[in-house]
Amino acid sequence: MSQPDKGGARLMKREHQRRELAPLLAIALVLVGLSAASLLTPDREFSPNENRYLQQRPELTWTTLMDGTFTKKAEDYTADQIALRDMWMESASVVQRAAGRREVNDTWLGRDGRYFAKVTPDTFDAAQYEKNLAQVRTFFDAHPDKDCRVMMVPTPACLLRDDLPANAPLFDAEGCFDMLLADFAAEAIDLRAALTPNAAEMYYRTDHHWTTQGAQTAYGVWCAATGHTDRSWRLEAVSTTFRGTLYSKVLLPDSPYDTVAIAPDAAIRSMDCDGAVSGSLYDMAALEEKDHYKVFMGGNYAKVVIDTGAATGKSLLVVKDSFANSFLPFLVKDYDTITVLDLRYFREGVQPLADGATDVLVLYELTNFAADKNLYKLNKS
Amino acid sequence: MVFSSTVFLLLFLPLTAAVYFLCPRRARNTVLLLASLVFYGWGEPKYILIMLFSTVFDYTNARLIGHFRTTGREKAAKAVLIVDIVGNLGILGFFKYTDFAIDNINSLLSAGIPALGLSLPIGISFYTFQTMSYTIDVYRGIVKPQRNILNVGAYVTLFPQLIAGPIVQYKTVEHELMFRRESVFEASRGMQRFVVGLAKKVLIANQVGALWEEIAAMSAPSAATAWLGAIAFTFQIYFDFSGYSDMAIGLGHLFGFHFLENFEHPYESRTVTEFWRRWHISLSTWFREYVYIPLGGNRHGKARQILNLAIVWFLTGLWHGASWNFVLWGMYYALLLILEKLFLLRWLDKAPRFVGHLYTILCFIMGWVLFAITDFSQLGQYLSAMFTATFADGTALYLLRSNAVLLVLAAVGCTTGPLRLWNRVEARLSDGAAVTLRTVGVVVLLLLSIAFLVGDSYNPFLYFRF
Repeated sequence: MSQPDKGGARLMKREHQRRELAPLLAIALVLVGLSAASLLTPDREFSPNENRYLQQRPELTWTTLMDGTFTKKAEDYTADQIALRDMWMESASVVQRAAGRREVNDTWLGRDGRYFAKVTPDTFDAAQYEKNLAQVRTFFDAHPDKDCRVMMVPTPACLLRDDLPANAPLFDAEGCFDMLLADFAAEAIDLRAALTPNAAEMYYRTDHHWTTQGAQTAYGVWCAATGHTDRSWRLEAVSTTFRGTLYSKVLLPDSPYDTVAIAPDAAIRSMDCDGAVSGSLYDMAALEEKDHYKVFMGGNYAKVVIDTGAATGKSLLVVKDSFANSFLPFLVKDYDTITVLDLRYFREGVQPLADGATDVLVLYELTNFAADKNLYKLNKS
Repeated sequence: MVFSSTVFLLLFLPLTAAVYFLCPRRARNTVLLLASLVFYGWGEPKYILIMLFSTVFDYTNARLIGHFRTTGREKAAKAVLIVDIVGNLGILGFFKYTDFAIDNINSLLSAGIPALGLSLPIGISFYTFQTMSYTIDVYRGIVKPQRNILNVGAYVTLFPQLIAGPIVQYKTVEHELMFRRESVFEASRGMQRFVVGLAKKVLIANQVGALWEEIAAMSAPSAATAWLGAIAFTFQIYFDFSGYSDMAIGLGHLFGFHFLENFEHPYESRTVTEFWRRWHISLSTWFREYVYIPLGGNRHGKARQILNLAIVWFLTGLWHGASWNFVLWGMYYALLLILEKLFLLRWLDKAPRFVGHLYTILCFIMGWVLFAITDFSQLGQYLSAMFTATFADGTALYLLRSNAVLLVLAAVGCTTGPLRLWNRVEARLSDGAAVTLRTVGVVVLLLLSIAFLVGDSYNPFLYFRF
């Protein structure tokens, strides 16, 4: 073969350089294409997957420009309204799992598509937990004439340790229960033994709550502890397509679906949720939306007053987190009225409401309880 | 603004590039200047004023020095140079070190002076060094004073390297500021380099960074966990910073500039001396040219050289942040470099290769621990965890397994291995096949980076405040 002459070499070099157009065009196409697609697709107001409102197009004024709020919002806007936002997030999760990550977005990826909120010895606030226990203790001590109980729901990860990733650094739940029992003895309703045998059925796989079956099992323990009759409520599945809060954090497309059941026979006379009155404990409209757990009492309110229509002469004050929402329907035949307080939103005095009740139930899931900074409201005059 | 954000990738970059290439050549520096001011003012608009002041200040001083030079007034030229250096260091000192000084005076004299609480103008440590290099080189007669203030403005504010380097000296881009030729070939290579840098930052640095943050927040890590944390930070700072330099150099190519390399796989070094020739090269070069050599370098005997090294490394440490741990970090390297000059280099030269690697790796990992933890009591706790805590626990195993792929990628990625492998593959492929493979590669990296950017709430920026 003859050596290419000078002109040939130049031609080859030009050919070589021309080829480099391809990667440049490819990169430009991705960036400009995505930019155009994001601008052309209509903005979304709410992301059901992430359960939050998305940033809308920010208004440019001299003030917002100079104080930096415009640029901050513009950054959030381009990230929030990017075309195929959910697809990008799902891809990131899929890649992380494929790379062997055992957690995504502070959520442990457990066995069989079960997810767990990541709570480690360092993120669990043991000091706040102790303070909150002391607040409940003070509250109970101020009401010696009432039947006061505290029901601390075990964190799913505590009972499903074998489903956690190997060696996942879970906080010390047993120590927390020891502390609880030391402070409250028989006033504490210990659910661990009852929930352990079928723990996998007691909690959702994609949501941080317990299932209605879990709540019903707890109801059985509560009946035994407080001397009520277990009424063996009939359960009925109302959704088989529930993907809960933990799914929202993980967004893996092959996540399983959970089944949501209700106790259809738990009828009441009326329920007043911060002024909105309804005739049922169940909000079936919630099944049309993403968070099917909202079917239970329609979500969380500062104060809910349930008029059960029963004639027992007894009334109950419940101080709770959202775990109580699926539990309370089981109590409708045991009390005439049930007053339900969520201290995160409740801003009035608790004492007058306590005075009107014969029994008190404090119901929280353990990590929720430890993270809540509102328990002081119990004893605020 | 940072490169690793959707606002930069989807809006700023496409718009700037479009306007830049649509404009005639003579308008392009103005386009760069305006775009850079938007880029800079994005976070804190009022600090654009400092930028403009720097431009006018150094432009004027350089012109004055040039004028006095040509009229033979050496003393006046020197006076202007001193004003320029005092001015630049004054700005840097005022914004970066005032509160640190007040804090120290307060704790020494219990004076109770209130802190100013100024937020640090982004990249101030980088651009004050750049502008000083310009005026000093004019004084030294290495470059001519630039007559067009827009060119100086474009140089000072040039957004690719504005907020985190590399520290581009005026003399290296003087010609390109006025006569550069952009080309499709250069732009393509540049954007590919940019994507690789973006992937280093988003896919590796951010991920190992989250691991480091998690471990740093632990109250009682085991020794294995603490070492894992130190290694994670070691990877984070390399991939964050060298990724940023890749992005800066790549964007430079897009607009026809050639910045000097800033990193040459420093973690492969066999001595600390070599490490510092390969890590943040533009900073070491700056300190060598503008501090070490003017101080006399190694020309006045061993004792003076050791003193000079100590001074340079005290300042290098302090440059990295207004906190004593950075000074400690600088002095730590001064000590290592002096020991190497005195005898260690000779020993290491005779030792098997792996000894040098092991020694250097241990040195820089320990260095990064000093660097990462600004609080001395926390630093003490962390070091004691590394050396005296229980050897390993379940948490260490969990973190290691959960991050195994990431750590292996990082370990391989900071060596020359991937580059060598690619060169061998490319040599066997036809030209077209190699370009196709590269195109697929960068597109995959770009898509993955966007996915992680959108999905990732964790996107801090290590060198943002330097």
